[in-house]
Amino acid sequence: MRGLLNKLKTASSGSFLAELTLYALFVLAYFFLVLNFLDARLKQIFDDSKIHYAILSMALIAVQGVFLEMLTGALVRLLRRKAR
Amino acid sequence: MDFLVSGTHIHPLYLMGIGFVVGILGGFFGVGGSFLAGPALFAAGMPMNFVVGTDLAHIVGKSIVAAKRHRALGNVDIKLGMIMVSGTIAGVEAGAQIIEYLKRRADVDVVVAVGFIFVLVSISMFIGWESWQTLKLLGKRSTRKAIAADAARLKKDASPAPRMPRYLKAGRGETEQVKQDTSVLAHVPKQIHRFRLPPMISFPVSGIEQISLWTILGVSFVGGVFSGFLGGGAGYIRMPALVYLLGVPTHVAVGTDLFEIVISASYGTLTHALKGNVDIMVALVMHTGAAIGAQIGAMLTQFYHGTRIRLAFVPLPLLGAGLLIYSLVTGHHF
Repeated sequence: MRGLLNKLKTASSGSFLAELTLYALFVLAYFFLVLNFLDARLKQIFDDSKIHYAILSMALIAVQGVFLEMLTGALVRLLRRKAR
Repeated sequence: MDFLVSGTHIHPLYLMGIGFVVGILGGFFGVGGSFLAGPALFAAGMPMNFVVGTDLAHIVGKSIVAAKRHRALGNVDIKLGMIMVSGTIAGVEAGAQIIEYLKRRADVDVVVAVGFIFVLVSISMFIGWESWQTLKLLGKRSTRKAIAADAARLKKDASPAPRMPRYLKAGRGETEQVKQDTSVLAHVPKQIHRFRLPPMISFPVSGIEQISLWTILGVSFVGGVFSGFLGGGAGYIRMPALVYLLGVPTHVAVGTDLFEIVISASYGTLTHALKGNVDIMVALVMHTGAAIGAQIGAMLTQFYHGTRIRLAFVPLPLLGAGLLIYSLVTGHHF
């Protein structure tokens, strides 16, 4: 366990902590601004048309996946540049 | 928080926590993490048909992140992954049809949960046994090498060669050790490669000279059935199958499995959503935690030997099985 922690420390402890903090802030904002308003709309679509719901579900999770990857990637690059 | 589609009440922090943990596991072991996420959702009170579909949906978003990371590290055999997709999709559809049949005929929750427990315990026991045997084999080999090296050094003492700086030796040795992959079952892939039903294909990235297309399709179909029936990407079946049956090095198996999961889990999400088995809100909340966990997991694979990655995997399916047994026996939900 100590070895693992040392490896993590040497790898990117500073940038990781900063990334985690920014990420937490982002998730909090995203959660309250977007997800809270989506649920009722999604339930309506789920009841009305399963085809639309399936397509929307795929689009939402894929877009969120790509967006979060881009966001974290950009954060890491920014932090590394500042560290240099 | 109430999730209207599945009619469940789960705290979002619980979902984010599950997502974060399975994200790390996914990035590190190349599995979707359904062996933990599935039981954790079931334990939170979600009906099993929603657990299966929702878990697949969350895996799509997470695997996009992890697969991209692994591709950057050179751990993805795209050719192998693309071929496996077709077998997996057929298997996912077969698994989803079994779920539909059980929804009409039997108690889907109990049947899927018992099946899940059996698979999780079997996988854990098998990988544990194999990794332990391989570590013992490696230990014997290193002892023999050390004795041979001592004998050679005694001979050379009269005219010692110029020494390499210690830090260089350590660095080079560490890199070699990380990239090496040994298995006590190395003879199994060799025997499987002897099955030569055409067309035969080679996979240079995975170090496979020639293998029958049907072998790959068969392995991926079985993985797909588990994925459609038990949810998730079924990496707990496919990752060991890639290593032990096809002979793919563990690091490449991890990356290729994730790449394949992106495509097969997307199909699984669509087919389950059409059948009304996906609560996408739950998946989106879980994914916010999983996205960062997947990056940490992918980073960690660079520091560990393949055998140790497999050995570390052993207790995780047992944890998932424990959660399921607890929920089934007590009827309690978190």
